[in-house]
Amino acid sequence: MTTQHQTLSKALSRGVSYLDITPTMFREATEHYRAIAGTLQSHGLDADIKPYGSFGTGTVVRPSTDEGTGSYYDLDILAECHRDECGWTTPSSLREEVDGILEDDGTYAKMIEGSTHQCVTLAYAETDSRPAFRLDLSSGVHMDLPLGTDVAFAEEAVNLAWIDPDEWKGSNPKGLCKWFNDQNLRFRVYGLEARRKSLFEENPGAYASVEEIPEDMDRSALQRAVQVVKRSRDIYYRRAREDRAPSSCALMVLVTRFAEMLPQSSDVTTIVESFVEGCQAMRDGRFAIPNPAYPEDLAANWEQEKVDRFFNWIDELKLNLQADLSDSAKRDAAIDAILGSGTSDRLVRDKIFDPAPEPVRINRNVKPWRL
Amino acid sequence: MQDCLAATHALRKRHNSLTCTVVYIGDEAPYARVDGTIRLDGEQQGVRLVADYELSIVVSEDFPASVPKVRLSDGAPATYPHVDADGTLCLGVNGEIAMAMNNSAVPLIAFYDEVLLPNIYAIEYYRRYRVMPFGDRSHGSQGVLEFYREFFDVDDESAVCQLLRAAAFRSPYRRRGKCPCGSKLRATRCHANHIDQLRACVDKSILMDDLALVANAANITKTKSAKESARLRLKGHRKT
Repeated sequence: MTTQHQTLSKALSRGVSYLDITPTMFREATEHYRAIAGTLQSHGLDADIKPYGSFGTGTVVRPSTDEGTGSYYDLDILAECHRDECGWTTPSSLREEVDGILEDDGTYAKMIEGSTHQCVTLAYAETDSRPAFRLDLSSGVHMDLPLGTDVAFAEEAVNLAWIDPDEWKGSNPKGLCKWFNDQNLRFRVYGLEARRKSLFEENPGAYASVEEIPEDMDRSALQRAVQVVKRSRDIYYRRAREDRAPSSCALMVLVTRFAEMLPQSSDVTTIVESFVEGCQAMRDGRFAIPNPAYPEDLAANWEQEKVDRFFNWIDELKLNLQADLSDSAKRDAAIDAILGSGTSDRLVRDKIFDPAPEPVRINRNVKPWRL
Repeated sequence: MQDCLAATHALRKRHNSLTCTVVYIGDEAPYARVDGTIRLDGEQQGVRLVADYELSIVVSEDFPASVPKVRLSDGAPATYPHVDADGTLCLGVNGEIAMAMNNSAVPLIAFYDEVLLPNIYAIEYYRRYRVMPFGDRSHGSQGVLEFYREFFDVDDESAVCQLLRAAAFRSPYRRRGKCPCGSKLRATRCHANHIDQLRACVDKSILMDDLALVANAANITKTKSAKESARLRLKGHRKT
């Protein structure tokens, strides 16, 4: 393994950790979604509330609204509702019940930021100890016998209640989390003690001892790699002023799939490189991203322009992974292109990198033109 | 030739990776050429880009009355829209470049800092993200019209033509007389400073060329709007 490879892994792991959920925030978010379950219960609605998406897989990364402060975390939670008798006849009847309980509640009524086709969003304001975050609460009911689903995940399948227009949307977000967490297991056990020790040291005061650190706060190389890829996507599509970015779950599936053949000792760089190579190999074939937990193609709605943009991003990510790290200016530009502006400055402050020369400020006095 | 040589040597002094040569081809006027690799290490709105570009800058004998030509050794990205038929980069409207070159005592240094580097940044940004970082101008005469509209801060094409004409030809314009833009204000209270700035910074030959292009663009716009009016009239007539 080259020095360049090790340096890059260290920089990516540390850099993306700056964008991760903090222990305080994790604790508070967990308390909050449990409190929502309690509120629904107190109004006679029996619901299991579980995190899914990045919150359920430990791959949360701060959105890049301005590549700096002021952005918020989006956390996804699912209320799987139960009713013994006839249940809910329409998706809107279930959504009306869940959304109505929150709207009538003194605490949550003020926090509802909006209600969309898929979910209701609760906003939690920034405090001294943690940044702002939003909980996107989806509602659904258990799905019986989902055809074509791997039996290992069939139990987790749900019919999500979507409104305007009403639709029971078959899905398996919890099953997908379970699949990822199963795949992640072998990466998690490798170097676990060392990572927990360093997490304890990097967050003084957050935990009384290493043993107190919740398992969900540990990040394996695979989880870090998913975070790096998601963040790189956010930065690229923002700079390219392009909205049609691939979804986080599609990226999580691709990163994990391409890591299947890698040894458990693989570091972040190796896993991200294998993702890039794997994606580049898909360039000439039929483009599809099968969901391992539900019979659907996660890229089913991708039009050709979106596919072309995706490969353009993959090429750009590769270019940045291959940047000459011994050239400090190129190093900083590449790290910032992957993880966002200011990341390299923070790595310098944390003594991971030596300072690079200051760049020239580009004036936009003259705009290109052709006769 | 001396001005052009002094300028290239001043640039080389700042960037020692560049070399300067004087090129003689047959009966043509000799010109100075700067070759070498330049480093782009620039940041705009938080986006830092670093890349090395091998290029040559050709500076004509009449510099700074003319704008230098720049060619990238490896060419611009395939779909980059601002490359001339001869392979040189289209860096901007000539009047705009000439004014930018006036921002330093050494025009070629100003050209490098204010024109070339932002263009190289735009090319690198485009290569990576397939969009222009800070906009660009329409091709042809429309792009020239866009620049002078922004510069004079007027919308009307004929007003832009009149103002540019006043800058290029001295005779019909007096600072204390009515402004050529047609505002009925005295020029001193309207566009006198803009006109003076153009006269001071931009060579007359460049202004004349730009005026011809602006007049052409204004004609195109007029013809288009006349056709559009005729089309709408015809449509209205058919309805009735």
